[in-house]
Amino acid sequence: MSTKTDPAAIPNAEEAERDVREVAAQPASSPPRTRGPRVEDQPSPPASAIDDPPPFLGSWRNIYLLVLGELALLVILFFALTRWAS
Amino acid sequence: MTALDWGVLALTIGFIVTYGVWKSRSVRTVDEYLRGGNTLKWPTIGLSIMATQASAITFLSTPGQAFDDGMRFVQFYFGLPLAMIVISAVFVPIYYRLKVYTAYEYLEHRFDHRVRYLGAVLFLIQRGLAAGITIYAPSIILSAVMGWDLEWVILFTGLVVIAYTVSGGTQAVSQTQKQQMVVMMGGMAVAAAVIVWRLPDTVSIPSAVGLAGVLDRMNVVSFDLDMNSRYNFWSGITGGFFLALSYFGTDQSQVQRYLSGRSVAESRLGLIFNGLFKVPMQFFILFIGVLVFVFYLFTQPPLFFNQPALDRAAATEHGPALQELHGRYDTAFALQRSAAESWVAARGDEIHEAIARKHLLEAVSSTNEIRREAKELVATALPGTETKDTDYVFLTFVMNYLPQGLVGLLIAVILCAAMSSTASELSALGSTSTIDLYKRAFRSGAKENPRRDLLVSKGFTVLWGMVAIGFASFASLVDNLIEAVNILGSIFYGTVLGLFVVGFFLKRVGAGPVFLAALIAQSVVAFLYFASDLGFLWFNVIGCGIVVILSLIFQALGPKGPRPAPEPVPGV
Repeated sequence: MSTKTDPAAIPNAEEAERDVREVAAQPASSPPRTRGPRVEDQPSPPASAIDDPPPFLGSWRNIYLLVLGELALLVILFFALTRWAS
Repeated sequence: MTALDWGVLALTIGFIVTYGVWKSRSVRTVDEYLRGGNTLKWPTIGLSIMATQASAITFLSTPGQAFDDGMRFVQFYFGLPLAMIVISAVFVPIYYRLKVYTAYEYLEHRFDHRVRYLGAVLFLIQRGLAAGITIYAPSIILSAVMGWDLEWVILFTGLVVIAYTVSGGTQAVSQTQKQQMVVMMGGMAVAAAVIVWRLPDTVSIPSAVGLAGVLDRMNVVSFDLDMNSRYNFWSGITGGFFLALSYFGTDQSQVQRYLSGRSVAESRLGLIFNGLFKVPMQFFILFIGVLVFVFYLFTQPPLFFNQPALDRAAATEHGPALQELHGRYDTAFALQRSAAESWVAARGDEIHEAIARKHLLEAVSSTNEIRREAKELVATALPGTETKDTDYVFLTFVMNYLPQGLVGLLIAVILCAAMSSTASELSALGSTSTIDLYKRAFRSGAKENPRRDLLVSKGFTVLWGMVAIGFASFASLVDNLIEAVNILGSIFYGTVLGLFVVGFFLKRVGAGPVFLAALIAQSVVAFLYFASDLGFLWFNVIGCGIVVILSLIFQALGPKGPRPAPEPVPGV
């Protein structure tokens, strides 16, 4: 099967982020909002599935901050090790 | 190897392969074969992503890299956690929304079929060659050190991987990788413990680190901005970021790993797992190399780590000269060991430590000079022989100093790593050939036939397996194996990443401009590779940058008006 795809409807980074905000703002009883044409016979995952929060730390933002924090800590430790050993 | 080692090796490999085949025995449809039926949880995805990247080269070559050049290679991975965040936040939701089987399907949704073909073909060339190196690299080293026949090692590794990949598809790949990662990390931890145990009683871990520091092996981080330096903080955080973004975000061998997740959240967590643990893991593997280096300050290493090549050279007319070098090497090493012991004894006493340090540097310089002369002699005696022996360092240590049973375990680690990476590569090559070329070019609009599609996918997996085995059989040893794979990737990744960056972030750019920009970018990167000394990590930045900038310029110069809609995309 084939589906005509409107270029404006193809998700990009801005839209993905906007969806996150919009879905977060919807009441819990609202039907999940999806955008863009279907490109397969099967339906795409609803926006709510795409925006599921992580099982810990509350939000993806916090998870990403954890990754950044760990990287910063590792670089500092590695730098200290380099200085100490030399 | 003893009978116990053979038993450990056979049991480990046999159990993992059987487990993978059994766990994926219900694979019946092309969706289950290519996307694992979207059933995997994040721990399996995370370990699978790590196992795909960690090939045998990682475990053979990385410790050798640290032995020769120190810890600075770890900076190569600094951009990886940042890339995991971007892929998790931007790439994964888009792939899930479009329900793609391969990353390159997105390019047709966003641009047109030409751009999709370009992305897919660049992937097939790059990954097809890399799969050959992935099999060849451990085979050449195992065959040299163990005395096994090279062709048989290549054939065994390749055929086992083909068998379970074709049997259970991406699900078998992921399930085996989970077990393989456990064996790999467990084996390396045991090796680290044995090295520490075999250090002299007077050498504590802080002393070992101090010795490595004196001899410039603890160069973990450098903030010096040198464009020609392969590894420093800046090249790692920028070039490494682009390389990781391209590899994990657009290389089907990785995209296929997280697209088999049960949900977006599971896929994202699998990537985040990699972002959290990859840098510590690489640090650990490099540190093992540094420990081996310190161990060999007190225990005499071979004059040349590729012992079979040294033996062949000794059998030529240059044998007497090599014999004379051996004599000088014995004397120089005795002085070096004494200097190292003096430095450890003087540690903490500033004046004596400075004197001992000077003597140690002179002694190490002498032994290095003799080793350099030995390499030149080997090169003269055996023209065409690779004289960089760092890839043999770790395996030589394993064979000579690990207890019975553990040797078999470490050989299993190397074979597991080779198989885990190759399986992902073959699975991805099969998927891309089926979805992006066969179905798009030859079956577009044809009636769906899931049974035929499954058979075609399996057929392509076998075909690429044979190509990889064939390439591995004809490859020759390159300078440093892990660098060879990364250099090969960097030549292509920048351009492919540029296509996706334009697609995701520059909505105004159409298919024509980005296609032309990508062709020019790939030509420029290929030219730079052959004609400049630029550090290879920068190829990723340059390739991606050229695609983005030229796309914008061509779009601005091109005909005005609304961008034409892409052609309809055939479904799968």
